[in-house]
Amino acid sequence: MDHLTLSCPACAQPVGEDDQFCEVCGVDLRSAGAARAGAGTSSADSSAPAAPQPPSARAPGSVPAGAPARPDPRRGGGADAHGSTGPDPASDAALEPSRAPGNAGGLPAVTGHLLLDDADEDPEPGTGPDADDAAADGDDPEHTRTAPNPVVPGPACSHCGARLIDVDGYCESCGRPLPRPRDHQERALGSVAGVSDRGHRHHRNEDAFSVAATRRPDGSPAVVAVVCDGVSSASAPDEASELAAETAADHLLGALEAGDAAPEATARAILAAAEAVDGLAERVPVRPGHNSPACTCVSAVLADGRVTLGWVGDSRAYWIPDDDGEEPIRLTVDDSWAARMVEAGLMEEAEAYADPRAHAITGWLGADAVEVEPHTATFRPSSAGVVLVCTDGLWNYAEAAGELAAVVPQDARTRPLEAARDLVRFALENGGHDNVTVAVLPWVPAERKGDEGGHDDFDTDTVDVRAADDSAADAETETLPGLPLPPSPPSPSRPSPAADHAPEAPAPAAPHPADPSTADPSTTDPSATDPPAAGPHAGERRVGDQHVPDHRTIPFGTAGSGPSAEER
Amino acid sequence: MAKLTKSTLPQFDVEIFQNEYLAEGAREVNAIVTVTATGGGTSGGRPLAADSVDAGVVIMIDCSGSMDYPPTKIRSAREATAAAIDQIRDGVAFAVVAGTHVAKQIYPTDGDALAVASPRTREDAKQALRHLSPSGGTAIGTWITKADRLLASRPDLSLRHAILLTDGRNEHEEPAALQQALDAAAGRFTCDCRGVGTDWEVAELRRVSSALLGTVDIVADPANLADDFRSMMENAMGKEVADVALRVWTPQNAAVSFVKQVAPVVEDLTERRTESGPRSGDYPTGSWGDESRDYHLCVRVPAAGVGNEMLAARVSLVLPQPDGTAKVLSQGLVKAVWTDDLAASTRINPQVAHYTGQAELAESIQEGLEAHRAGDVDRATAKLGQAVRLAHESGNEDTFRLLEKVVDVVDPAEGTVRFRKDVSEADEMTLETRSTKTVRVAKKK
Repeated sequence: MDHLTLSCPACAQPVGEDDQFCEVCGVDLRSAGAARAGAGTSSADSSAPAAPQPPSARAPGSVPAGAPARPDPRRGGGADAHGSTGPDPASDAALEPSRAPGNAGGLPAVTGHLLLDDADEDPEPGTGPDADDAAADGDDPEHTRTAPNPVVPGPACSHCGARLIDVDGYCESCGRPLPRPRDHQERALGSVAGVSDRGHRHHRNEDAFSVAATRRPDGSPAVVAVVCDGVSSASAPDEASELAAETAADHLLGALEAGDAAPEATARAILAAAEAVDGLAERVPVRPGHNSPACTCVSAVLADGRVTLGWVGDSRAYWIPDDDGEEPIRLTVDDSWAARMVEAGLMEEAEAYADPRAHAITGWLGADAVEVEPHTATFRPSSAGVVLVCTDGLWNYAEAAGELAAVVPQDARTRPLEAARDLVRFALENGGHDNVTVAVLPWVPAERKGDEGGHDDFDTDTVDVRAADDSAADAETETLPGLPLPPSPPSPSRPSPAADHAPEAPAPAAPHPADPSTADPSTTDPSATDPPAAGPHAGERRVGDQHVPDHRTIPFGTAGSGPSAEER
Repeated sequence: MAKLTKSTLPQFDVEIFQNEYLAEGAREVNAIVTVTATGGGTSGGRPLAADSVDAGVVIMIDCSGSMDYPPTKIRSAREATAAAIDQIRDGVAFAVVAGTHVAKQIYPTDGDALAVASPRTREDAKQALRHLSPSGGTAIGTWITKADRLLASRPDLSLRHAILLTDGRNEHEEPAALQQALDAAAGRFTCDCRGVGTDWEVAELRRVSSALLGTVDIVADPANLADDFRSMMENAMGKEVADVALRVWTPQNAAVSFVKQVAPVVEDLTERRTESGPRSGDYPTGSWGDESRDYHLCVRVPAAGVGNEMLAARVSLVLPQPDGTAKVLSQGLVKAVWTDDLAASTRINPQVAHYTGQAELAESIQEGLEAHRAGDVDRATAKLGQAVRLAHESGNEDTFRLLEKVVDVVDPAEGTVRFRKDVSEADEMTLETRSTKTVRVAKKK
């Protein structure tokens, strides 16, 4: 890739010739950042201006109803203000043909609802209003020049170095696209971080994600991450994933603030996202030979002392404990050909995933889906660690939980943004054949138990569909409430995908999400979470810090926890 | 040059049809550019108010001796001219020229000037048509030069058009002289050409109409001239904006392989490029009314690796301005995306495929008739068989019917044909003249 500078364009720190990201501020040095000297970068935008801002991590859509449910004064006004102003710059930017650098950090592709509104409203001089005018219809006298289009005297093209970037987003000299905001995105709160990258072999990023945090009616924190992967063979997969991630996050936040149980909220949020993607089919031109817009979806909610997962498709969630002695766990089961083959006992996992059909998904959001069946599961880790939510662009290179754990930095829990960057970089360095997206959600059990204890607790239990109802909470893992199954799963090795969705069957036992937590008194007190670990409530107002990330990975014995680590 | 006095400028829309996905190493990008002009002349094609008219038209009538054989020819030409004059809107500047081995102005009679249409001048002009008396030769270049000079007498006009009628070959002039006249006139006015009878040469007249961005057609029976002239003039009066150019920008190290108008007729514009800026060239499209045209653009781009994207071309419709700049009316983007997804890169865009076939159809007809004239019946049969197959496949029924008058179709799907024994010269010339007419891609429900 191009290296136009040996110092980081965002923070001026010296960088190595082969560095892909700045070691200091984390900016992507390969293209966008390098070309954007002086204009800030996506990561700088997402972190620097964020700190003093009131959190706007909250999605705008559910702001009004949620107001009473958000007693935290640090959120209220600011979030509402952003809620009302947020969409406008975003939609303006969507219509704005310019990919001018001043806007690059905070474009509509941003699904993280992060604090970028101001960046939008204050574009780099010379690119914002001018670009708007120039893009207006041909009556503009400025448009009547011999050159085909007014050229925004902006940054250099990252491909050919020409200092001519046309207003429609392509270099006026070599025709290469100006780096797009979605090519590389980083969104972070202290309590959750996500990074997404286009990868090396795809011309656009069809992954999208959303990270957010809010509070339950009782004031306890709730952290949300949604990751979606657009289906390439469908029309407008990038729009589908973006819309799904936004919609699901929106619904989750609203439901969590209203006090809904996380599993139900999750199922409904995925169904809402599915509906939104369905609707997209009518709005975007369906390309001949392509399916209707479609995407996968996986969500993680950290609230009420447990982790609630929801998914459709082959995007995944993993539990990676801090302690290398504990077993990392894959928390989701793909809706994919390979997973089905394994589940049906027709193929070994390795064999199935080596098959060219492995990645054909059997469940997705989109108009062509016969029926969307969101899978949900809950999980109550008893030790500290992180929940990873990712697309196959990452897990293709570390499929088993143990392999993935080996590349998760040891300090992932305290530096989730850096961990997410490291994981994305890991995928890129291994080929980056697909778009890659990962969200990292730090988890600290309500009351820190001894590491050994925590380890034992979750390591020996299945991830989901084990227990019949919330009474299983004391087993540290639990099924989706409402799943009327006895503790014996239908398949000895896998949860049954057919069984672990129950969106239409809300839990009789779970209308009060706090109830199960009372089994563990400490979970009712959010202040019991580990403050230095930037627990959810504390992290809302924090974004990925600017310290040099410690990229050392855990010297973790992957062999022992091997490919079957996520199995029971 | 053009002057924008009209507020009724049509709205131009550019649509791009392409498969932007290329296999690794592929360098050719094809796209169909559909340009649609709508809403111009809020009058909906009806005559505009006189004060908004800034058009001029010159009618050139062949008065060579052959027009008297049979005498119905010159009689029909007079009637047709009169019918055309009736269609000229009030306020439009016009003139009538009698063409022989020299060009002679019939109306108005004062030299090198245009009359302004009114009930009185139209009547005077029709009276003057009696002076159209056949005698002399044919030197079309001199007619073109005369029309150019007449139209140049009114530099304020933005729409400049001519109509040319001939019945014979350009015998009294070197081909080079005609070419010189065409080169001089190109871009200064547009010209629709008609050949009456069967003694004229299709290729020669097509050269005139192509250079002057007009149409060419045959009127085999002089009796049909009046209707044809009427509709031709109606069409000319429906034009709202002149000198529109198709501007194509391509990136560094890329080149335009060809630019062809492919609908409503095939017209290769590749050689008509004039540079208009860095990596950018203009191709003339002439005058536009409310209409839609398709262009096939083929660009050769530098190769790039999988996962790369490139803007292969930016296509805009531009209108020259008095100050030498150009107003961009509309634009579209042609992209290239390199992928390792074979399903994506091998898919051929239906529009591109369709117009590739239509261009091949026109070529097959022209080559087939050329071979027929040269006495190579086998080749002629093969080429016209191919044409039949292409016309059948693409649903180009008009061309198919014209082909049927020249060959007996045995199997349209296979393109099996036999040359007819009794092909009339008129049918063969009609087929050749209209070979470039295309149909659009059948709309899917």
